[in-house]
This record gives sequence, structure tokens and C-alpha cells, in this order.
Amino acid sequence: MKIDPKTFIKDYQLDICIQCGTCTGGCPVKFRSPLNMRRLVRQTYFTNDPSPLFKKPELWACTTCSTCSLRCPAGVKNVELIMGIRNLLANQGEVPSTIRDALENTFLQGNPWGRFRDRRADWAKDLGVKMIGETATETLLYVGCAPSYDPRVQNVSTALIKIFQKTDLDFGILGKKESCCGNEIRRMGEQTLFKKLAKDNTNLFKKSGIKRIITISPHCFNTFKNEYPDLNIPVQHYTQVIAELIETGKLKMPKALNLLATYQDPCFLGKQNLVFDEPRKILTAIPGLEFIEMERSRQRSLCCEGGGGRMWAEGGTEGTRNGEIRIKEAVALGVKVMATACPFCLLTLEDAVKTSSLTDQIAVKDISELVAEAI
Amino acid sequence: MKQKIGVYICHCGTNIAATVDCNELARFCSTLPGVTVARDYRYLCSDPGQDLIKKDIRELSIDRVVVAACSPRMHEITFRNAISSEGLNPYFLNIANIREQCSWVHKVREEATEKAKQLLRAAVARVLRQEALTARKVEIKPSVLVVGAGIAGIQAALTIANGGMKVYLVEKAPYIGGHMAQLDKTFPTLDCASCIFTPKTVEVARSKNIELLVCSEVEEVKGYVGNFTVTIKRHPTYVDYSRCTGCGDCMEACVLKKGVPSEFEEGMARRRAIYIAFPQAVPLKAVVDNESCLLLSKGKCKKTCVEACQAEAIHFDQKEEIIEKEVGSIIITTGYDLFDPHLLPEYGYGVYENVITNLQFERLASPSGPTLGEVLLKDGTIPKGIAFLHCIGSRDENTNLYCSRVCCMASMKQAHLAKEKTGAEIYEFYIDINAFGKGYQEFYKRVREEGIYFIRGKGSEIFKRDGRLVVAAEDTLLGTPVEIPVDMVVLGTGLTARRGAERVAQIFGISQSADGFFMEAHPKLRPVSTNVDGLFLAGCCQGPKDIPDTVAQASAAAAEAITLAAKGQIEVEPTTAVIDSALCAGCKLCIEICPYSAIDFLDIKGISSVNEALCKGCGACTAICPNKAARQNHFTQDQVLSEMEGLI
Amino acid sequence: MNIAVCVKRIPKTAEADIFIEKDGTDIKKDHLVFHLNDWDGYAVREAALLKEKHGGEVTVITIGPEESKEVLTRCLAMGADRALRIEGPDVLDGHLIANILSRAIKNQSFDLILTGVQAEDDNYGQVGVSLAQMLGFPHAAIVTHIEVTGDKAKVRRELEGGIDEVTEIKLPAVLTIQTGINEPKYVSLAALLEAEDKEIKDLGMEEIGLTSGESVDIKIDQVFFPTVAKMAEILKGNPEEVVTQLTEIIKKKKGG
Repeated sequence: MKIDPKTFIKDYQLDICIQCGTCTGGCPVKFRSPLNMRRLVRQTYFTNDPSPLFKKPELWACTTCSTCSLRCPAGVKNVELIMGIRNLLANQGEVPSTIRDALENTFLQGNPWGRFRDRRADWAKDLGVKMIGETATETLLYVGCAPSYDPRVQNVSTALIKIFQKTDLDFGILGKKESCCGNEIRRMGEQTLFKKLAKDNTNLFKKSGIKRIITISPHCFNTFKNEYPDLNIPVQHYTQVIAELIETGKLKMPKALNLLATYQDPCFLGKQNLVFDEPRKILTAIPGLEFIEMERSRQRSLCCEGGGGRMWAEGGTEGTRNGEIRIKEAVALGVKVMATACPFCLLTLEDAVKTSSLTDQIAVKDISELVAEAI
Repeated sequence: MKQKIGVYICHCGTNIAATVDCNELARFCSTLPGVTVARDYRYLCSDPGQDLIKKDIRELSIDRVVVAACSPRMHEITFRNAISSEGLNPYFLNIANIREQCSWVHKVREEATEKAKQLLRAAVARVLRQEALTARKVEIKPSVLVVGAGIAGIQAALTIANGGMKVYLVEKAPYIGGHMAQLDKTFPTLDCASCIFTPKTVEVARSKNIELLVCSEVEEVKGYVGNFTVTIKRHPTYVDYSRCTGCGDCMEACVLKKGVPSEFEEGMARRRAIYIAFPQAVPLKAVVDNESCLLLSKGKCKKTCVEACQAEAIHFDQKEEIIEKEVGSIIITTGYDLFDPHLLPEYGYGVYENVITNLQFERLASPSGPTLGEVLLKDGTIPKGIAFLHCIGSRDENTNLYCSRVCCMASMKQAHLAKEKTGAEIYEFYIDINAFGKGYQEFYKRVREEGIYFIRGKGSEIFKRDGRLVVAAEDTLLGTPVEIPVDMVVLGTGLTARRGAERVAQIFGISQSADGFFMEAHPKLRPVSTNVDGLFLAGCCQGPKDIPDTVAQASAAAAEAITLAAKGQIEVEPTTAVIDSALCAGCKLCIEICPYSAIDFLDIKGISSVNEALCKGCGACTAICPNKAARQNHFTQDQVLSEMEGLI
Repeated sequence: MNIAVCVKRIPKTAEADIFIEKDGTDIKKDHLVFHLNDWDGYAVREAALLKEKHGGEVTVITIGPEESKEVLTRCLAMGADRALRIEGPDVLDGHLIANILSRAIKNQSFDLILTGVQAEDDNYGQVGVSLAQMLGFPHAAIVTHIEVTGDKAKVRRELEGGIDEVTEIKLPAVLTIQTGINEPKYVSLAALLEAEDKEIKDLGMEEIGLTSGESVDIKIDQVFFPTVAKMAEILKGNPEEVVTQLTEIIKKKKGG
């Protein structure tokens, strides 16, 4: 199935680009890779056969944070162009080897790390969590791949279970029936696989009688809410749920934490879906937690470089990683904890703490972990 | 007496003749009942064309004329004038549109000619039933209301007043001059704004023909062209203008020491509850802001201002005044508001105190401003780097699509002033340079020669690093991303319609364009008129523009108003509705449906009656009247039905 | 150039939960995910690359049940032109597999036959070499590079110690392919769906002159988990001291 790059012009509105450079100016990897969004749009528009352009490795440096598309004054669909090019490449089999593996793993085992499908819910086996299908419930806690398999992120899942059980929130998980949501799959260019995942997941959710979905990762939140064509089930990110529980008095946090903390707005939660206030409401409600804003917060939050398939990409960038820049900014504020609400931010920032040798000065914690400590 | 109809078919060059067989059409028309003569001609609207018709009226005693040509919107008046010049009542003319409605929308000659025949058959049937009507004459009152006393309103008012006519100049703020009063120097000549317009404001204050009403707003407008009745509400200022000397002692004495952000200073300075907007304000009178004044909002205050006022001008029992004026025409010059940069959080406006709007910079640069004309940061130090960002809130799918026209020049002017005053490194982040006017391109060159850096790339984001503000953008000409540290960022915020524009449009019955500014009658040929006769626009309320264009437009609007008044009276179309008192049952359905509130109910007689002056001839009452008591001149049931029968 | 590639469908066992069947002769496979044998994937890709260079056709052959078709579809998406599935008996060993394959291959004019070095499940490594013998073709095993000129192929073989052997071999020949010979391309789901429309030929045992009850020479007696023991001794000291300790332990274990 050959995709004609000429269709990109109309599909992504490349002809209305006025070359103002707002996209490149706001790109989080602008200094870390030769990727230049503005130039890519013009070249794709003007070149008769742009295929050699598409083979450049810097196309895989894009984190799909979407700052370019969100800020473009002309209405060009920038990040969608990158995803379209990656789709063209994937169809031709021309993706980097680690991306290839991540995609094949997702197809076979339902997660990009290729971990065994049946072990997806092992982390929850002693927590007394309802399994959808075995016990009736209308609320699905959609765990996600990283929170299921990555040992560091499993702490987040466990913390959330603790919080929900404390507030008697009725929910269940899909266990080993859960498959990848497909957000990163789509961003790595496998549009066909994404459609299959969306269809299968939608059918599974509906068949299971689910009326409400809560996600741990903002990436899953984003794709369920905005990209699944037939879902029609309300989706929330867990920070929205916890903020609600605090506001209605259902969640009590008696223990004081006594620390200075800041917060990294995840791209897929913050700038893309405008969920800024709920995480802050939670943090300021935790007793003993003094909250201070990062310089670049909210719509100006610096992308941690975890999205867009970067978790499975090797190389393609150089220089200081954004994660390290963020951690150093946080340390300069004097905070002891960098809070976040996304598994990818959690992993990349924690890595950055280690590579910057700042483990004795700052720790990275998910909001759920902080709340769980306070209840 | 049998009517004698003359049918005249226009070729309109090839516009009609290429698709419709005009010869055949003429032959066909001569066979229709009542038609005495049928001719076709190349350009009927020309002199010889019109002469053709006039000759037939004279020599063949033609007393009904059908013209088959372009849309009546083009030449109905032309042909009405032609026949009335031969003594025939102009309402004995009927136009069949065989261009826009036939030759321009069809391709096949036979089919188009057939359709034209049908249209003409209908037109001929109708003209037989048309009646003679006389246009009404309406008096034009020689006074004008100007709404908004910025430079546009001032210019319009002065032009009209100097022509000897009376002007009521209404202004919402306590001072006149609008946004221009806030400016320091104007581009491209770097004239000091106050210097060039203070003479005008003083003239306004002194003019015998201008009645200035500040702190006032128009509440309601009734009437029609030449005869508008306007209700103006004058808000209480709690200061007796006849006594106030503008000394300012009350401001010093006001207990609200911390004050509130000053609107005139764009929030860069604070003012007390009782205040004079700025030292050169016209009128130079104090006003009390009822929201911040402790006495008025909370009921408790020592009233130190009253004590301090030696002229005993402060009276807290002052009430609002309702003033009614009768005017012949109205000019709306309500101006613009600045785009609110809070709507674009990537620029950190409201987060970083040294990110300011272009108007705020203007106040810094102004010698009567909060820093006495020095360009300083909030902490009082001189900036070493300043960035000017173009197109903030303009040319943007996310905010406003249009270009605000003046900000490129304003940015460059401000860059020049900043360079002069601070010697700092100055950067202009632009997409295009809109230097369209007289002397503008030359000014751009000059600014470049002064060592100001122009980076072609829109500012993407502002953040703070190592104590300085950083502009993230791309130098698109070099193709390299940049992060440039500066101390101050001036956002080139665009112009938008005033926040209350919708309400103003409603009050005056005018429309807004898609961009929110008031809509002109025709974008090219009638830029100062509106869809309401006698109501004109000038200045930025119609669309963003610079001072030269504003002044030109204001003079144009004034000219329109003066022309109306000079004519003394105008003719109003007699195609209004009329209610037959014998048939009217007094059900009032027509009153309910009339969009112009043009029908009154006569209680004594128990029937409805049309006010011809207000009636626009829309036909709604005629359609709804269950008794067929309401009829519309020139659109009677008879006429309309015969036209339909002719078609079918 | 006509190339045949023999492929196998096997379950992925890395990280999976493994359970032994009741009779102890095999592991449970129902819950496992199946895929194309890693080595065979490299072989198919190599065949596709040779086809790009020299023209001709690539035929993939497998022995297995209906489910094996998914692996053949993948090969077709990877560049193969024809696919053949042989419905074999339930119990197989390397010799029988080679026998079946040789019968299916021998009357067709293939210039080159590729197999993977070994299969991920039993790791025997027998089929390719046995197949060559049965067909009477020359063979080279553990091939890491192929260059074809006319009717000869120059191949590199991977030996121990980082040594490579370069051999010239006359075609037709059988080559067993080592991983790393090329960089496999990603096979997109879209390409797979397209390949599903392509024809796969089925062949029964009778058609190649065998019965479904053919016997095997190797029978699996027992499959079991290795006993888990605990023993870790940490040797402390400077390098000389550690070496002395280590030599003592080895001497003792050796019995000397």
C-alpha cells in the first residue's frame, strides 16, 4: 500500500504555511537534533519527490509534544505531518530497528516492550483488585503498559490502588486482557496497527459494560479521549479523579509530608489537553507540601522527550537531555521533590537525576505516590 | 383606458446577448397583451439608450415601461429618472433581470431565451397593475451626534462644527483623545502625539458648535435618517464641572493611598478613587470612580477630598442624568481595544512583570507617564536588552485572523525610541514588515540603520533563565533556532473591536463583520456608510488603521453628514405599507412582527397604523395580516400574483 | 534466480510462563504467542535482497497445521512470491522434516535453498545440512554473507574465535543462514493485510509419496525444569588472592 507524499499537502495544510518559524522556535528538540519543522513543511511542499527527505534520522527525534501544531498561527498540521511521514515509512518497512521491535512486540504481546502478555497484571495479584469480567463494575482503571511492566512505574499503580481503595471508589482492571492503548504506536507511524488496537480495545470495553475510564498515563488519556473513533465512554486522567475526591471531602490526607516540591506538566496532559489545575489542586492540598512553580510551566512546560516513540528510539539527539535541564532547573529552585503525573516523565526525569549525580538533592515522584504517602 | 407598454431589451454588450437571443425576445414581447412596442439595444443605460425610451414616451404615448436588463440594484434609479424626466411617474417602470438571473447563470442559448421570455411575460403582466406613487420627502435636521471622542470623533466633530453645524460629541471616558492621548511619538515622523493633537482637543473644548458630553454613553436610538432621537446617559462624576479647577488637591487627599491600576497608564501606575486621568486631560476635571471609592462602594469614608477641595466642587449626591438629543445623522467613532495577551499563555504575560504590551511601552516612553519618559524595568533599572514581538493576537488561527495593520510600524517606532533612550540591544521578531504608508518604508530603513536587529521568526515562547527573559524563536532566514536573552519583552498586541461592540451595534442597529468590527455598507465604494441611512462610521471601530487613515475616514464621514444636512431633505421610497382602516380588526399581529417598530396602535380607533417614516417596506405585516388590511405600495397582492401568473 | 526458503512457526518462550504437559514430553503451548523463527526471518530477508539484485522468485515452504499460514503470510509481506504449506504428521524430527522438504523441493528448479541455522524451540540445527545431503547439493552452514556470480556463490561462514571462512560453492546449493546477516525490515500491519490476499498452496503427505504416519528416529523422553539450587560464593581480596582461591576451588572440583 503505497502512500503518495503529494497527498500530505492537502491533508496537513502545508500550502498555508507562512514560514514564520513559531513551530521550530518552540520545538523542545530544536537544539538537540537537526530537525527543523518549518523547513520540513516547506521542503515537503515544494519537492517533487520528498522520499529522500523522509529517510533522515532526525525525523525520529520528534517527541510529538505538539507544541508546533498548537501554536501555529496559520493552521498547519505540523505534528500530524511527522506522524504521516512515519506512517509512510512504516508501511515501507523503513523504521529504525528499535522502533521496529517496539511495533512488532506490540502486535505480538500487546505492549511495546515485548513482555509476556499473561504477566501484565502480576503487579496487582495481591492487592485485592477487582478483575473486570470476573466481578461487576462500571469503572475501568486502565493501567497501561509502563505502569504494568516497569518496576519503577508499578509503584504508581500500587499507590493509586491504595488511594482508590481508601476512598471506596468502585473500580476494576482488565488484567491480562488489557492491551496497549496505541497512543505511541500511532505516533511511531503504525496507523494500521493503531486502528486495530483502537477497534479491539473499544469492543472489549463495551462488551465489558464499562461506563467510565480512568487512566494512569496521560498518553492513554489522550488517545482514548481524542483519537478513538467510536469509544463514547467518558475518560478521565487520575489526577482529575483525585482532585474531585479531595474537593468533595472523600479523600482525607492526615499525614504531613513537609517538603518543597515542584511539578512538571506532562505534554499529553497539560498543553495538549489543558489539564493544568487538577494536579496543582492536589499538590497544594497535601499537608506540609509547599508548592513552587517551575519557570517553564503549563503551556511552556519543557517536554521530557519521552513521547513520540522516544522511549524506544536510540540516538538521533545530542547534547544535554531536556530531562537533565529540567532537573537542574528544579534543583535551582531548592525543591526536594519533582512531582509529575506521567510515567514517561517519571522515568526520564529520574534517569536524569541519576546521570546528573543529583540523587542526594532531589527525588522524582508521581503525584499518586505523594498522595499515598499522605493518607 | 388601455395601457401602452414599451418593452426595452438590453444586450448589455455580450453579457446578455451572448446567451439570450435579444432579437427573438423583442419579437416575442411585441406579441404580449398591452405591449405597443418592443425594442432591443446594445447598452440601454447609455444616453442614446435612454433616449430611445424617452422618444417612445413622447411620440408613441407609452405610459408603462418594462426594461429587461441587469439587476435593478444597478440601474432602477437610472431608468426611473429617465421616464420621470418625460413626465411619467417613475413607479410605472418595471425591471426584468435577464442578466444576473438569466444570462449569467445559464449556458444553453435556447433554454436561456425561453426563460427570459417567461421573465418578461411576468414583468409585463405586473407593470399593467402598477400604480403611480410619490416619494416622500423627509427633513434632515442639521445637527450631528458623534459617538466617541478619540482622534476620529474629534476630527469629525471639528470638521462639521467648522462648517457651521451643531455637534454633540459623546465620550464614555472622563477625557477626550482616546488611545492617541496615550501615545508618545507617532510614526513615521516621530511627531509627539500630544503636541499634534492637543490643539485639536483644545479647539473642541472651545468650539461654540460642539457640545461635549464626557462620562456619557448612548442608551437608546429611535427614529430614522434626518430625525434621530438619541437618549444619552451621563454617569455621575460626583464633581461639579462648573466649579472644578483641575488643581488635583483632591487626588492627594484621597484616603485610598494604594489606589487602583490606572486605565490611562495601562496598569503601569496607580490612581486614587478621585482622579484626573492625566495632566493634559481635556476637560481637566476630576471624577470619582464609584467602584473604588470607599464612600460610594462601602458607604464609609472620611471624605478628605471634599475637605481638600477649595472650590467646593465635590458633591456625592450627584445623580445620573438622562439627556435626549435630536440629530439628523450619527457618526460612530468608538475606537478599539487592545488584544488581551493573557489569551496566549506562551508569552508569560501576567507571569513576568517585564513582559508588557505595546500600549504599556507607550506609557513608559511618554514624558508624562509613570517613569517620566524613561524606559525602565519594574525594578527601576535600565534594560540591557529589549525584544519586540510582532503579530501577537493577529494573523493567528488561534486568536484573530486579520492583520492589525499598525503594530509593525508601532513596534519599529518603539524600537527606535527604546534604542535612543536606553542604548540597549534591541531585537524585532517579525514575520513580515508591513510598511505600507507614506514614509513608512523609509522609516523601516532608518530603524535598521540604527542597529536594531531584525530576526525573521515569530516569537514562540518567553521564559526566564538565569534571571533574564528569554525569547525562543527561529531565525528562519538562517534556518537556526535561537533563544535570545533580554530584560524586557514588548508584545506587539493587535487591535480588536471594543469589548462592548455588540451592544453598541444593537443600540444603533448596525452590523458587525466576522472580525467583530462594525460593518461598512460596501468595502470599497462606501467605506464610511452603514446599512442604516444617516449612520456613519469612522476610525478603528470599522477596522484597524493608523492615524492618517483614521483622520481621512473621519473627514469622509463628516462630509457625508454635512452633505445630508446641506441637502436639507431627502426622498424616501414610497414603497411603504399602508393599513386599510376599514378592514383592520385590531388584532395587532402586524405590530408584533414589524422588525422596525414602525406600526402604532391607535387606541381610540382600535386599529393599527403604519408610521411611514419608520417603515422600510419589508412586507412582513402585509404577509401576516389575516384580513388583508395591510398592503404594501408597489407590492400589492394584485401585482405580485399577476407576476406569478405571467411566469407560469 | 529461484530461491526456496524453509521456515518454521514456533512459540515465543522468552519471559513467558512455561508449563509442562501432563505426559512430560512437551511444554504447554496454548497460551503462548507464536511467530516466525528468528533465523528463518533473516533467511527470508536475505532471499528478498538476492531477488532484488538478481531477479527471479522466492518461494517459502513450511511444514505445519493451518495456523502456520500466518507465518507464510508474513514471508509473503517480506518479499516472497509463492508460499507452500505441507500438512505434516503430528510428530516430527529433523530427519523427517528434511525428508519431507527434499521431496517437495527436488523436482523444482531452485538455484538456492536457504534455511535458518537452527530453530528457537529445539535448537537442533539439523534440517539444513540434512536437506543438502538428501538433495545431493553442496551446502555451507552458519552463513553470514552471500555473493552470487553466475552459477557460483561466495559465502562467508562464521567460525569460533571471531574467525570467518570464505568458501566458494557451486549452485544449486543449500545455505543455513546466521542471524545478523542483514537488517530485517519492519513488516507493517498494512503490508500483512495486503499479503493475506495472496495465494498459499497446500500439500498433503500423499502428494509427496509419504504417509501421515511416518516414523521418527528421535523421540522426546522427558521435558523438565532444571533443579533450582542455591549456591553463590563471593571471593574477596586483591586479584592475586582471588585467583589463588579460585584455582583451589577448580582443582578440588576437578578432583586433582
